[in-house]
Amino acid sequence: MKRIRLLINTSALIGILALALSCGDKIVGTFYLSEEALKYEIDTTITSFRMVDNYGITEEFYLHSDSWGTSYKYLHEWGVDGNAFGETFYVKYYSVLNDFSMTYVLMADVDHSELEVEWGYKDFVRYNFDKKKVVHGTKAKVMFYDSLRVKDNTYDRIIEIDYTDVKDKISEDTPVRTFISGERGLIKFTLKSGITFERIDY
Amino acid sequence: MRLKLALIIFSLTLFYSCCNEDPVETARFELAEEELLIIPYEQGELLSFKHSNGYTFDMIVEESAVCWEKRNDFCEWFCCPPTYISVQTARAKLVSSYPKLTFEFAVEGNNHFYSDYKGFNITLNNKHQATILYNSGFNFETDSVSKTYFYELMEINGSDYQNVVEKHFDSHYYINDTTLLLPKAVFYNKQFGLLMLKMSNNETYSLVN
Repeated sequence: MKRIRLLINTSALIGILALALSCGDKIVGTFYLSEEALKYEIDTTITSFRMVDNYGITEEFYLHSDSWGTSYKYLHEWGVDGNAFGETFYVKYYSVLNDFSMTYVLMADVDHSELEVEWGYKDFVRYNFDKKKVVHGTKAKVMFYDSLRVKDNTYDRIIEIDYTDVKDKISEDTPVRTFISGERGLIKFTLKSGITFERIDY
Repeated sequence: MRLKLALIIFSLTLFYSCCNEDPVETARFELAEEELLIIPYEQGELLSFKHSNGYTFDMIVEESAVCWEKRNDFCEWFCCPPTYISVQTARAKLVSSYPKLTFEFAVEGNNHFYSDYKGFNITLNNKHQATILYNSGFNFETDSVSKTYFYELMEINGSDYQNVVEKHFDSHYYINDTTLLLPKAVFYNKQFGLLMLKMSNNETYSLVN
Protein backbone atom coordinates (compact mmCIF):
# COMPACT_ATOMS: atom_id res chain seq x y z
CA MET A 1 0.00 0.00 0.00
CA LYS A 2 2.81 2.44 0.95
CA ARG A 3 4.63 1.64 -2.29
CA ILE A 4 1.55 2.44 -4.36
CA ARG A 5 1.09 5.79 -2.57
CA LEU A 6 4.77 6.64 -3.15
CA LEU A 7 4.43 5.80 -6.83
CA ILE A 8 1.33 8.02 -7.20
CA ASN A 9 2.96 10.96 -5.38
CA THR A 10 6.17 10.70 -7.41
CA SER A 11 4.22 10.56 -10.69
CA ALA A 12 2.17 13.62 -9.70
CA LEU A 13 5.32 15.58 -8.81
CA ILE A 14 6.98 14.69 -12.12
CA GLY A 15 3.80 15.70 -13.96
CA ILE A 16 3.63 19.11 -12.28
CA LEU A 17 7.33 19.77 -12.94
CA ALA A 18 6.97 18.79 -16.61
CA LEU A 19 3.97 21.09 -16.96
CA ALA A 20 5.78 24.00 -15.32
CA LEU A 21 8.86 23.56 -17.51
CA SER A 22 6.78 23.32 -20.68
CA CYS A 23 5.08 26.68 -20.04
CA GLY A 24 7.99 28.69 -21.50
CA ASP A 25 8.38 32.46 -21.05
CA LYS A 26 5.50 34.35 -19.57
CA ILE A 27 3.82 36.79 -21.98
CA VAL A 28 3.81 40.30 -20.57
CA GLY A 29 2.63 43.48 -22.26
CA THR A 30 -0.18 45.13 -24.18
CA PHE A 31 -0.39 44.28 -27.86
CA TYR A 32 -2.20 46.55 -30.30
CA LEU A 33 -3.81 45.98 -33.69
CA SER A 34 -1.40 46.34 -36.60
CA GLU A 35 -1.65 49.30 -38.96
CA GLU A 36 -3.01 46.99 -41.65
CA ALA A 37 -5.73 45.60 -39.38
CA LEU A 38 -6.75 49.10 -38.29
CA LYS A 39 -7.67 49.88 -41.92
CA TYR A 40 -10.61 47.50 -41.46
CA GLU A 41 -12.04 48.93 -38.26
CA ILE A 42 -15.67 49.47 -39.28
CA ASP A 43 -17.37 52.77 -38.43
CA THR A 44 -19.54 51.93 -35.40
CA THR A 45 -21.49 55.17 -35.62
CA ILE A 46 -23.39 53.39 -38.43
CA THR A 47 -25.76 51.43 -36.19
CA SER A 48 -28.09 50.10 -38.91
CA PHE A 49 -28.31 49.78 -42.67
CA ARG A 50 -30.74 48.37 -45.20
CA MET A 51 -30.09 45.83 -47.91
CA VAL A 52 -32.30 44.55 -50.70
CA ASP A 53 -32.29 41.09 -52.25
CA ASN A 54 -32.66 40.25 -55.93
CA TYR A 55 -36.45 39.83 -55.46
CA GLY A 56 -36.81 43.36 -54.13
CA ILE A 57 -37.27 42.30 -50.49
CA THR A 58 -35.76 44.74 -48.04
CA GLU A 59 -33.89 43.56 -44.96
CA GLU A 60 -32.34 45.66 -42.23
CA PHE A 61 -29.20 44.89 -40.24
CA TYR A 62 -28.48 46.54 -36.92
CA LEU A 63 -25.39 46.74 -34.79
CA HIS A 64 -25.79 44.82 -31.56
CA SER A 65 -25.00 46.79 -28.45
CA ASP A 66 -24.83 44.78 -25.28
CA SER A 67 -26.36 45.79 -21.99
CA TRP A 68 -22.99 46.16 -20.26
CA GLY A 69 -22.20 49.17 -22.41
CA THR A 70 -18.91 47.68 -23.58
CA SER A 71 -17.26 49.67 -26.30
CA TYR A 72 -16.56 47.96 -29.60
CA LYS A 73 -12.82 48.26 -29.08
CA TYR A 74 -11.19 47.08 -25.90
CA LEU A 75 -8.18 45.36 -24.37
CA HIS A 76 -8.78 41.67 -23.95
CA GLU A 77 -6.88 40.10 -21.08
CA TRP A 78 -4.96 36.87 -21.65
CA GLY A 79 -4.94 34.78 -18.51
CA VAL A 80 -5.96 36.19 -15.15
CA ASP A 81 -2.78 37.77 -13.77
CA GLY A 82 -3.20 41.14 -15.45
CA ASN A 83 0.12 40.86 -17.30
CA ALA A 84 -0.94 40.59 -20.93
CA PHE A 85 -3.62 42.26 -23.03
CA GLY A 86 -4.52 42.18 -26.70
CA GLU A 87 -6.44 44.95 -28.45
CA THR A 88 -9.74 43.71 -29.89
CA PHE A 89 -12.33 45.29 -32.15
CA TYR A 90 -15.63 43.38 -31.97
CA VAL A 91 -18.93 44.09 -33.71
CA LYS A 92 -21.99 41.95 -34.26
CA TYR A 93 -24.81 42.61 -36.70
CA TYR A 94 -28.27 41.07 -36.62
CA SER A 95 -30.96 41.26 -39.27
CA VAL A 96 -34.57 42.01 -38.38
CA LEU A 97 -36.49 39.75 -40.73
CA ASN A 98 -34.40 36.69 -41.60
CA ASP A 99 -32.46 36.53 -38.34
CA PHE A 100 -29.05 36.65 -40.00
CA SER A 101 -26.17 37.38 -37.66
CA MET A 102 -22.59 38.24 -38.49
CA THR A 103 -19.73 38.72 -36.06
CA TYR A 104 -16.66 40.66 -37.18
CA VAL A 105 -13.54 40.72 -35.02
CA LEU A 106 -10.05 42.19 -35.33
CA MET A 107 -7.65 40.76 -32.77
CA ALA A 108 -4.11 41.70 -31.85
CA ASP A 109 -1.70 38.94 -30.87
CA VAL A 110 1.93 39.23 -29.72
CA ASP A 111 3.42 39.65 -33.17
CA HIS A 112 0.49 39.79 -35.55
CA SER A 113 -3.18 40.74 -35.98
CA GLU A 114 -6.06 38.59 -37.14
CA LEU A 115 -9.50 39.04 -38.67
CA GLU A 116 -12.36 36.71 -37.81
CA VAL A 117 -15.78 36.67 -39.47
CA GLU A 118 -18.53 34.35 -38.30
CA TRP A 119 -22.05 33.89 -39.66
CA GLY A 120 -24.90 32.61 -37.52
CA TYR A 121 -22.75 31.03 -34.78
CA LYS A 122 -21.99 28.27 -37.29
CA ASP A 123 -19.19 28.99 -39.72
CA PHE A 124 -16.19 31.19 -39.12
CA VAL A 125 -12.94 32.03 -40.82
CA ARG A 126 -9.86 33.53 -39.17
CA TYR A 127 -7.28 35.31 -41.32
CA ASN A 128 -3.77 36.19 -40.16
CA PHE A 129 -2.71 39.57 -41.59
CA ASP A 130 0.97 38.76 -41.05
CA LYS A 131 1.00 35.32 -42.67
CA LYS A 132 -1.58 36.52 -45.22
CA LYS A 133 -3.56 33.31 -44.97
CA VAL A 134 -6.50 31.64 -43.25
CA VAL A 135 -5.33 30.05 -40.00
CA HIS A 136 -8.56 28.77 -38.43
CA GLY A 137 -12.12 27.88 -39.32
CA THR A 138 -13.57 26.73 -42.60
CA LYS A 139 -10.99 27.36 -45.31
CA ALA A 140 -12.55 30.21 -47.24
CA LYS A 141 -10.60 32.40 -49.62
CA VAL A 142 -10.07 35.84 -48.08
CA MET A 143 -9.30 38.61 -50.54
CA PHE A 144 -8.80 42.35 -50.25
CA TYR A 145 -9.70 45.06 -52.78
CA ASP A 146 -9.40 48.82 -52.80
CA SER A 147 -13.03 49.45 -53.69
CA LEU A 148 -16.31 47.92 -54.86
CA ARG A 149 -19.42 49.49 -56.36
CA VAL A 150 -22.74 48.28 -54.92
CA LYS A 151 -26.12 49.84 -55.83
CA ASP A 152 -24.62 53.10 -57.12
CA ASN A 153 -22.34 53.55 -54.13
CA THR A 154 -18.60 53.00 -54.06
CA TYR A 155 -17.19 51.43 -50.93
CA ASP A 156 -13.52 51.33 -49.96
CA ARG A 157 -11.25 48.83 -48.20
CA ILE A 158 -13.09 45.71 -49.29
CA ILE A 159 -12.73 42.26 -47.77
CA GLU A 160 -14.22 39.36 -49.71
CA ILE A 161 -14.81 36.02 -48.00
CA ASP A 162 -15.43 33.30 -50.55
CA TYR A 163 -16.58 29.83 -49.49
CA THR A 164 -17.28 28.68 -53.10
CA ASP A 165 -14.69 25.86 -52.99
CA VAL A 166 -15.97 24.58 -49.65
CA LYS A 167 -19.65 25.30 -50.22
CA ASP A 168 -20.73 21.85 -49.05
CA LYS A 169 -19.06 22.42 -45.67
CA ILE A 170 -21.00 25.54 -44.70
CA SER A 171 -24.54 25.90 -43.38
CA GLU A 172 -27.46 27.19 -45.44
CA ASP A 173 -27.40 30.46 -43.49
CA THR A 174 -23.74 31.20 -44.20
CA PRO A 175 -23.27 33.21 -47.38
CA VAL A 176 -21.07 31.65 -50.04
CA ARG A 177 -19.62 35.10 -50.75
CA THR A 178 -19.51 38.03 -48.35
CA PHE A 179 -18.24 41.52 -49.11
CA ILE A 180 -17.41 43.82 -46.23
CA SER A 181 -16.20 47.38 -46.43
CA GLY A 182 -13.54 48.05 -43.82
CA GLU A 183 -15.10 51.51 -43.52
CA ARG A 184 -18.86 50.95 -43.69
CA GLY A 185 -19.43 47.28 -42.78
CA LEU A 186 -21.35 44.58 -44.64
CA ILE A 187 -22.21 45.63 -48.19
CA LYS A 188 -23.11 42.48 -50.14
CA PHE A 189 -23.55 38.74 -49.70
CA THR A 190 -24.83 35.76 -51.67
CA LEU A 191 -26.49 32.71 -50.13
CA LYS A 192 -26.19 29.13 -51.40
CA SER A 193 -29.62 29.53 -52.99
CA GLY A 194 -28.26 32.33 -55.18
CA ILE A 195 -30.17 35.04 -53.34
CA THR A 196 -27.96 38.12 -53.19
CA PHE A 197 -28.36 41.01 -50.77
CA GLU A 198 -26.93 44.41 -51.63
CA ARG A 199 -26.72 47.42 -49.38
CA ILE A 200 -28.94 50.35 -50.30
CA ASP A 201 -28.05 52.72 -47.44
CA TYR A 202 -24.54 54.11 -47.86
CA MET B 1 -17.16 8.91 7.17
CA ARG B 2 -20.41 7.71 8.72
CA LEU B 3 -21.42 11.30 9.40
CA LYS B 4 -20.83 12.25 5.74
CA LEU B 5 -22.89 9.29 4.57
CA ALA B 6 -25.70 10.21 6.95
CA LEU B 7 -25.71 13.79 5.65
CA ILE B 8 -25.88 12.63 2.04
CA ILE B 9 -28.76 10.23 2.80
CA PHE B 10 -30.56 12.99 4.74
CA SER B 11 -30.21 15.46 1.83
CA LEU B 12 -31.39 12.89 -0.69
CA THR B 13 -34.39 12.03 1.49
CA LEU B 14 -35.29 15.72 1.74
CA PHE B 15 -34.97 16.18 -2.01
CA TYR B 16 -36.91 13.02 -2.77
CA SER B 17 -39.73 13.80 -0.33
CA CYS B 18 -40.02 17.32 -1.76
CA CYS B 19 -40.44 16.19 -5.35
CA ASN B 20 -42.20 12.92 -4.87
CA GLU B 21 -45.68 14.22 -4.13
CA ASP B 22 -48.15 13.58 -6.89
CA PRO B 23 -49.29 17.00 -8.12
CA VAL B 24 -53.00 17.68 -7.94
CA GLU B 25 -54.98 19.36 -10.70
CA THR B 26 -57.04 22.18 -9.19
CA ALA B 27 -58.79 23.54 -12.30
CA ARG B 28 -59.33 22.90 -16.00
CA PHE B 29 -59.87 25.63 -18.57
CA GLU B 30 -61.35 24.29 -21.77
CA LEU B 31 -61.49 26.18 -25.03
CA ALA B 32 -64.96 27.19 -26.13
CA GLU B 33 -66.12 25.96 -29.52
CA GLU B 34 -65.81 29.49 -30.88
CA GLU B 35 -62.22 29.71 -29.66
CA LEU B 36 -61.34 26.52 -31.51
CA LEU B 37 -62.38 28.30 -34.71
CA ILE B 38 -59.91 31.17 -34.31
CA ILE B 39 -56.99 29.23 -35.84
CA PRO B 40 -58.17 27.63 -39.08
CA TYR B 41 -55.03 25.73 -40.08
CA GLU B 42 -54.51 22.01 -40.66
CA GLN B 43 -51.11 20.46 -40.21
CA GLY B 44 -49.26 19.96 -43.49
CA GLU B 45 -51.33 22.55 -45.34
CA LEU B 46 -49.38 24.55 -47.93
CA LEU B 47 -50.19 28.23 -48.46
CA SER B 48 -48.91 30.57 -51.12
CA PHE B 49 -47.79 34.08 -50.21
CA LYS B 50 -46.58 36.95 -52.34
CA HIS B 51 -44.24 39.82 -51.51
CA SER B 52 -45.39 43.25 -52.70
CA ASN B 53 -42.57 43.30 -55.25
CA GLY B 54 -43.82 40.06 -56.81
CA TYR B 55 -41.81 37.24 -55.21
CA THR B 56 -44.06 34.28 -54.34
CA PHE B 57 -43.19 31.63 -51.78
CA ASP B 58 -44.83 28.81 -49.84
CA MET B 59 -45.60 28.69 -46.18
CA ILE B 60 -46.24 25.31 -44.63
CA VAL B 61 -48.35 24.63 -41.56
CA GLU B 62 -45.71 22.74 -39.57
CA GLU B 63 -47.88 22.28 -36.51
CA SER B 64 -51.54 22.61 -35.74
CA ALA B 65 -52.87 21.00 -32.60
CA VAL B 66 -55.20 21.36 -29.66
CA CYS B 67 -53.80 19.99 -26.44
CA TRP B 68 -53.93 20.21 -22.66
CA GLU B 69 -51.02 21.99 -21.01
CA LYS B 70 -50.13 21.90 -17.31
CA ARG B 71 -49.41 25.21 -15.61
CA ASN B 72 -48.04 25.72 -12.16
CA ASP B 73 -46.25 28.32 -10.12
CA PHE B 74 -42.53 28.84 -10.10
CA CYS B 75 -40.56 25.65 -9.45
CA GLU B 76 -37.84 26.17 -6.88
CA TRP B 77 -34.84 24.10 -7.91
CA PHE B 78 -36.45 20.85 -8.94
CA CYS B 79 -39.40 21.19 -6.59
CA CYS B 80 -42.64 22.32 -8.19
CA PRO B 81 -45.77 23.24 -6.23
CA PRO B 82 -48.07 20.31 -5.42
CA THR B 83 -50.94 21.75 -7.46
CA TYR B 84 -51.37 22.71 -11.09
CA ILE B 85 -54.05 23.84 -13.47
CA SER B 86 -54.77 22.45 -16.93
CA VAL B 87 -55.32 24.78 -19.85
CA GLN B 88 -56.54 23.64 -23.21
CA THR B 89 -54.51 25.37 -25.88
CA ALA B 90 -54.79 25.57 -29.64
CA ARG B 91 -51.52 26.21 -31.43
CA ALA B 92 -50.33 26.44 -35.01
CA LYS B 93 -47.00 27.21 -36.64
CA LEU B 94 -46.60 28.58 -40.14
CA VAL B 95 -43.11 28.46 -41.63
CA SER B 96 -41.39 29.57 -44.84
CA SER B 97 -37.81 28.84 -45.85
CA TYR B 98 -37.21 32.18 -47.61
CA PRO B 99 -37.86 34.76 -46.40
CA LYS B 100 -37.32 33.01 -43.08
CA LEU B 101 -40.68 33.62 -41.45
CA THR B 102 -42.06 31.59 -38.55
CA PHE B 103 -45.51 32.58 -37.34
CA GLU B 104 -46.80 31.01 -34.15
CA PHE B 105 -50.47 31.31 -33.23
CA ALA B 106 -51.90 30.39 -29.85
CA VAL B 107 -55.22 30.66 -28.08
CA GLU B 108 -55.80 29.34 -24.56
CA GLY B 109 -58.80 28.23 -22.53
CA ASN B 110 -60.42 30.83 -20.29
CA ASN B 111 -57.50 31.05 -17.91
CA HIS B 112 -57.47 33.88 -15.42
CA PHE B 113 -54.61 32.34 -13.52
CA TYR B 114 -52.07 34.49 -15.32
CA SER B 115 -54.08 37.20 -17.03
CA ASP B 116 -57.37 39.05 -16.80
CA TYR B 117 -58.17 39.06 -20.49
CA LYS B 118 -58.62 36.60 -23.29
CA GLY B 119 -56.19 37.04 -26.08
CA PHE B 120 -55.12 35.43 -29.30
CA ASN B 121 -51.33 35.53 -29.52
CA ILE B 122 -49.34 35.88 -32.70
CA THR B 123 -45.55 35.70 -32.62
CA LEU B 124 -43.24 36.19 -35.58
CA ASN B 125 -39.72 34.73 -35.51
CA ASN B 126 -39.82 34.47 -31.69
CA LYS B 127 -39.25 38.21 -31.60
CA HIS B 128 -42.24 40.20 -32.74
CA GLN B 129 -45.40 39.77 -30.69
CA ALA B 130 -49.04 40.78 -31.08
CA THR B 131 -52.10 39.90 -29.01
CA ILE B 132 -55.59 40.36 -30.41
CA LEU B 133 -58.05 40.62 -27.54
CA TYR B 134 -61.51 39.11 -27.87
CA ASN B 135 -64.66 39.59 -25.82
CA SER B 136 -67.05 37.15 -24.17
CA GLY B 137 -68.89 36.87 -27.49
CA PHE B 138 -65.57 35.75 -29.00
CA ASN B 139 -65.39 38.76 -31.30
CA PHE B 140 -62.07 40.50 -31.71
CA GLU B 141 -61.89 43.78 -29.77
CA THR B 142 -60.89 46.71 -31.96
CA ASP B 143 -59.60 50.05 -30.75
CA SER B 144 -56.98 52.58 -31.64
CA VAL B 145 -55.13 52.26 -28.33
CA SER B 146 -54.11 48.67 -28.98
CA LYS B 147 -53.95 49.47 -32.70
CA THR B 148 -56.50 46.85 -33.69
CA TYR B 149 -58.75 47.75 -36.61
CA PHE B 150 -61.67 45.96 -38.21
CA TYR B 151 -62.61 45.74 -41.91
CA GLU B 152 -65.85 44.14 -43.02
CA LEU B 153 -64.39 43.48 -46.44
CA MET B 154 -60.88 43.64 -47.77
CA GLU B 155 -59.42 42.73 -51.14
CA ILE B 156 -56.01 41.09 -51.15
CA ASN B 157 -54.39 39.78 -54.34
CA GLY B 158 -57.74 39.80 -56.13
CA SER B 159 -59.64 37.88 -53.44
CA ASP B 160 -62.21 39.30 -51.08
CA TYR B 161 -61.96 38.56 -47.39
CA GLN B 162 -64.60 39.32 -44.78
CA ASN B 163 -64.23 40.35 -41.14
CA VAL B 164 -60.55 41.15 -41.32
CA VAL B 165 -58.66 42.38 -38.28
CA GLU B 166 -55.54 44.50 -38.62
CA LYS B 167 -53.35 44.22 -35.53
CA HIS B 168 -50.13 46.13 -35.04
CA PHE B 169 -47.31 44.36 -33.25
CA ASP B 170 -47.21 45.13 -29.52
CA SER B 171 -43.53 44.46 -28.93
CA HIS B 172 -40.27 43.51 -30.58
CA TYR B 173 -38.04 41.58 -28.20
CA TYR B 174 -34.35 42.58 -28.11
CA ILE B 175 -34.97 45.54 -30.43
CA ASN B 176 -35.10 49.05 -28.97
CA ASP B 177 -34.67 51.09 -32.13
CA THR B 178 -38.13 51.62 -33.59
CA THR B 179 -36.73 53.38 -36.65
CA LEU B 180 -35.55 50.01 -37.96
CA LEU B 181 -37.44 48.17 -40.68
CA LEU B 182 -39.79 46.17 -38.49
CA PRO B 183 -42.88 44.02 -38.98
CA LYS B 184 -45.69 46.53 -38.44
CA ALA B 185 -49.02 44.69 -38.58
CA VAL B 186 -50.76 41.43 -39.36
CA PHE B 187 -54.09 41.15 -41.15
CA TYR B 188 -56.09 38.11 -40.06
CA ASN B 189 -59.49 36.54 -40.30
CA LYS B 190 -60.92 33.39 -38.75
CA GLN B 191 -61.76 31.79 -42.08
CA PHE B 192 -58.32 31.87 -43.72
CA GLY B 193 -55.95 32.81 -40.89
CA LEU B 194 -53.04 35.05 -41.78
CA LEU B 195 -53.89 37.22 -44.76
CA MET B 196 -51.04 39.69 -44.77
CA LEU B 197 -47.92 40.86 -42.97
CA LYS B 198 -47.16 44.54 -43.39
CA MET B 199 -43.68 45.93 -42.76
CA SER B 200 -42.87 49.41 -41.48
CA ASN B 201 -41.70 50.44 -44.98
CA ASN B 202 -45.11 49.29 -46.35
CA GLU B 203 -43.73 46.20 -48.07
CA THR B 204 -46.22 43.35 -47.64
CA TYR B 205 -46.33 39.56 -47.65
CA SER B 206 -49.87 38.51 -48.54
CA LEU B 207 -51.87 35.35 -49.07
CA VAL B 208 -52.53 34.24 -52.63
CA ASN B 209 -55.81 32.36 -52.64
